[in-house]
Amino acid sequence: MNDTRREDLDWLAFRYLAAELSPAESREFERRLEQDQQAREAIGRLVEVTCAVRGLAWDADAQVAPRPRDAWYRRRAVYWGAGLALSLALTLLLALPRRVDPTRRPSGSWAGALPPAELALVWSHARMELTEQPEDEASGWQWLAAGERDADASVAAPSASDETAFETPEWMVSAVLAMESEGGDQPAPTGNVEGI
Amino acid sequence: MSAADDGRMDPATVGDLYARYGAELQRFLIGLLRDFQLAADALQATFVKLAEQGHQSREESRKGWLFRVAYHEAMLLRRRQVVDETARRRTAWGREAVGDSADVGLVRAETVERVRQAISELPADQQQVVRMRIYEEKTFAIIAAELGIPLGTALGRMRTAMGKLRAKLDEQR
Repeated sequence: MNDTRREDLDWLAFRYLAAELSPAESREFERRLEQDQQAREAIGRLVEVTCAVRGLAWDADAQVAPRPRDAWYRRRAVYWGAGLALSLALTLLLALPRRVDPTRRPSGSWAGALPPAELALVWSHARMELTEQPEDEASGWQWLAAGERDADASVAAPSASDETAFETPEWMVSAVLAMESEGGDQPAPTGNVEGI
Repeated sequence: MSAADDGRMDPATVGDLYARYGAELQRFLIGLLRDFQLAADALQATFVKLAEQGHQSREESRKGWLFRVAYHEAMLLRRRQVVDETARRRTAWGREAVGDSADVGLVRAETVERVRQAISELPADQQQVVRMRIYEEKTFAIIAAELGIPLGTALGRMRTAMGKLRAKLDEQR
């Protein structure tokens, strides 16, 4: 079975387990279960996964723990930022003396070449760059804005931005909406189902 | 083929098969019946049938044979109307269907840990839909309303997330 067919089977099995198939679709899927071992195994596998999801400590830890490699990934970004700031500061240190006093004779002393106020400015800028990043890192993976977090997640998992990868067909949306409003314990909302 | 002298399957072989496939069959039966106790009854009936008739099945297809028998045992319970419509409208992972799945050994601790890790690698928007649909048992319509997204987007996020969870668990098996 190729990946697409397996994904389709898993999604059908999930909808069956979620009681989101119509009675006719449920009966048809159950007839398939009589013969299709892969469909039977998909059911068993999804019961395991969904029960495991339910068994997670969501209450204690609203968003389950972040990936360890996130910290590493962002630490590397901090190092790059700090290195860049340092390079910028050194470049300014090298360039500024000539610009400030092009007629000055070489004295062999950097301190004498750069006016103290400009040196202080460059150092202050570099220090700001260096000290701000660790503070951000201290707050862990949450320091990125929501949009950036999503972008990063899509780097970690190439298909992460793929809610469009599975274009939910309109018939499925309508079917789910109908099933949920028909048999669910919860009232279906009347609004915010645009795009159906 | 392992058969005892009286034409029944050797109890040791039955025990081995239970150890290998019992949990998987139990999860399959819960998916069909949405009732932990009934699933346990159907599982027991399946292995009784294995002891009585399993020696007639081929060893290489025994797993499929067990699932087929389990399926028929579950459908038998359905036909006896032991399973009412309300039960069929439950989710398979709800408390009414499986009780406390950790306590009954339905899901191993290592599986929970794998799933936790796999979920932590999902984008936040997909994690949220998974949590709301499975943990909080909200319908997709409610989820879409609360998040202010179209229903199709909520479904798409769930489908993508489930695909990734399955792939992650498969590569770790």
